[in-house]
Amino acid sequence: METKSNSSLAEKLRDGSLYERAPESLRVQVHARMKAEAARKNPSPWNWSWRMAGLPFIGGGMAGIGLCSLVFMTLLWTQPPPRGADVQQEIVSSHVRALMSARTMDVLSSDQHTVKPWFNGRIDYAPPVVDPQAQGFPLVGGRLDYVDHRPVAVMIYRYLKHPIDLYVFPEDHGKNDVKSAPSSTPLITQSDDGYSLVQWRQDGMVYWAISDASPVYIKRFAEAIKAGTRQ
Amino acid sequence: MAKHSPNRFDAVMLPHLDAAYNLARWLSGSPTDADDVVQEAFLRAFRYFDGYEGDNPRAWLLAIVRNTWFTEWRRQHNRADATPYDDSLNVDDQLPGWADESGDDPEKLAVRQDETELVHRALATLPVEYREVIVLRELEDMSYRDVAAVAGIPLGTVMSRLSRARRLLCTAVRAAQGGSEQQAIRLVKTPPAGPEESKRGN
Repeated sequence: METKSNSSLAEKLRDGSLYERAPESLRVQVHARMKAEAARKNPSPWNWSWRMAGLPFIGGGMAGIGLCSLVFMTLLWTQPPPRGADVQQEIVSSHVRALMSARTMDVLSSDQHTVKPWFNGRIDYAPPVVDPQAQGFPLVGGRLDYVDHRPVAVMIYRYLKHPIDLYVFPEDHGKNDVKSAPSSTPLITQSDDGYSLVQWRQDGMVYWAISDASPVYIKRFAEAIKAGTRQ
Repeated sequence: MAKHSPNRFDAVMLPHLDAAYNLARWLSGSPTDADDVVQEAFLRAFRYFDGYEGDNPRAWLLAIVRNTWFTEWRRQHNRADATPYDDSLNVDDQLPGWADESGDDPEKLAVRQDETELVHRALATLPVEYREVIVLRELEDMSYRDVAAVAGIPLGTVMSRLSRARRLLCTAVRAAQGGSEQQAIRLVKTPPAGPEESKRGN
């Protein structure tokens, strides 16, 4: 036997060379997600240890954070239309509610020719339904929802394990002026809860996609849908 | 109530992120799946944290990781979606005839420094039930009791499964080693071409 035995198999198993450490990106993501979850559970951002730290500190900290959030909010609110931001919140709530109730799906079909006609008679427009299965976003079904004071069509897709809801509804020509309407290039945002959202406009329809998949994939999804609806 | 303060959860659970990822990676065979599993598991751990009363956060967390993977991903996995890993590579039934030899003890089987990749691949070929106990016991250095808790099996089963798993692993490693160097000395039971070739396909 010419093998140079440096260790036994048992030693090799235990020496850490087979151990898979978490990548730094995952560490960061988990940490951020836990913070977001904690913030959701404790609506007040100040927990007890902060209070113990002393009021002057808090006063200064609050002033600083207050100023920053003021600036941030101003930037945030002046860019997408204020109406758009309300719609965003509605969409997040609607999406989360649907997830909580074990995926309310009114029509369960991966066939776009089943899903699209299903909406006839339920809403006063015909949403374009595409199935970018080839790009990894299969259609799973659809449902009716209520956003911005009207019934809207939601198409449900999937990216690997992540559900993606695509809300499609006609632009409201009356209320939006051209400047504040959503652009035709997909605009990605992130909700406080950690959901990725992307919105865009095409052929008189507004599209909103929401998912807990990371923004990279949401963007890809948006592009796949855009390409599909352009045909 | 400070229980859900981010500090407490983070302080207790984040140190075990590597362990969570290691297990998820070895279970799923894919880094992206492992990522997803770990994130989902941490979310669940956070939500159930109120009910955590123990003194063994690692075992508690790894049980969640394992259950998350088993219930959510394995179903998806079998639909031939993403990873090419073949769980049906069943080393199990073919091996009994080969296993009655010396050299089935990981303590005695020699591996070279540069054979880490080979051992890695051999471990990856084990059926998941065996792979799992090896990862928890040998890589994660858990007590038998903790392995039983995480894998959801009785203590006795842990012992027997581990012993079987070690033999299987030895055989897989020896086959991989033998393929590249010398002819492996084996009680030949004319095994079917499948498992042997893929193990040798180093």
